[in-house]
Amino acid sequence: MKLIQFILICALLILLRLYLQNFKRSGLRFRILLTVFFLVGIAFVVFPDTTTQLAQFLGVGRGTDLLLYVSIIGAYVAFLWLYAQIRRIQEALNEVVRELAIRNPQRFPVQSPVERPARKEENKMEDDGNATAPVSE
Amino acid sequence: MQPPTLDRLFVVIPCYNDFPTIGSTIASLLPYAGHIVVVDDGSQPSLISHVHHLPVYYLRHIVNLGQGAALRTGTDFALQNGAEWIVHFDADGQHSAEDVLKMLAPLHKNSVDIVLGSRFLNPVDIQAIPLFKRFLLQLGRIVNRILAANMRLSDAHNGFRAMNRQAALVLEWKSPRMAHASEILTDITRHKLRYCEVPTHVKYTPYSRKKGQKWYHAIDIVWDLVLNKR
Repeated sequence: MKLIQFILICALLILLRLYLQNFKRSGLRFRILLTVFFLVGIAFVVFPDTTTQLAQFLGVGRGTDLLLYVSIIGAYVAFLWLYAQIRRIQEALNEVVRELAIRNPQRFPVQSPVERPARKEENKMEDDGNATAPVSE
Repeated sequence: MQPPTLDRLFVVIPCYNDFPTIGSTIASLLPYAGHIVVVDDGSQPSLISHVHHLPVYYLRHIVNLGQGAALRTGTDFALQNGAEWIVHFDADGQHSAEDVLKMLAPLHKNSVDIVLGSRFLNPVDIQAIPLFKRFLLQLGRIVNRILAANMRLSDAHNGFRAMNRQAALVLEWKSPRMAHASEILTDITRHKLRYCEVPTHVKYTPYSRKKGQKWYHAIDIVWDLVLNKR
């Protein structure tokens, strides 16, 4: 076994452990899928030729290229999922902040009501709403 | 407007760091508004010292969410407090408080459910709009018609609108940022609300131009619209 294979297998195993820890609350099916995914990764590390065979079957030259393409697609799927998640969190935050604001209105002034200044041109209500707008400087 | 109805009229002012203008905007509204709801959208520092001497309701988002969310908060608060008419008004001093009456007139006659302010109905008002802004708003109209609503409106993104209680209850703009203006149009079509446009004058002061939306915000708006499309 080459040194790089040893390093990659160790890295994959550590990552798998971390993933399983963090997704403890996800469904069993998801965790099994995750484990299978990592085991396939380890298999590819142990038998590197299998990826090349697979690549040639699909019409790609080298196994590394195939893995690159697949991982780019995978990364974009992950970005999208994360982005959706962030939006969901943002929406929840919006609700919390808005609810806090609505529940804690402050009324001013606390003591004496302020005298309301008189309206400009009281007859404006006679407008039917389509009259020309007054030009105010 | 008869005095008793003034009590059920709520003017919602979303504001974010509008400390130079919020005081004068509220003061100009006092003769026309029954209740004024100031929604401070997470300004730093808080705008409370600029409004505490004025007869307003002050609601504060503890973090900045965006104008759409602030309007939602103010509108929900008004509905909970028995509002019959709700007006959305910008804090940067670009709208004229007198126009509130013109906006409310069609609502009082019960001929429409929602009144939208428009800068493009009166030649004098059009002249006041900076040229590039005019071009951008025309583009916005096209985008609105494609993405949001098949309505023939003269103005695409005006923050000045007035609605009755029924309209406020069914409108449900989701975009916390700026796309709410277009989303409201979609909802108007979906719920078959009766609407009309009323000419309003927009004052483009150096402050409101600096504070207002830049051209590139149009990209954000389209993005939000696409994502929130139902």
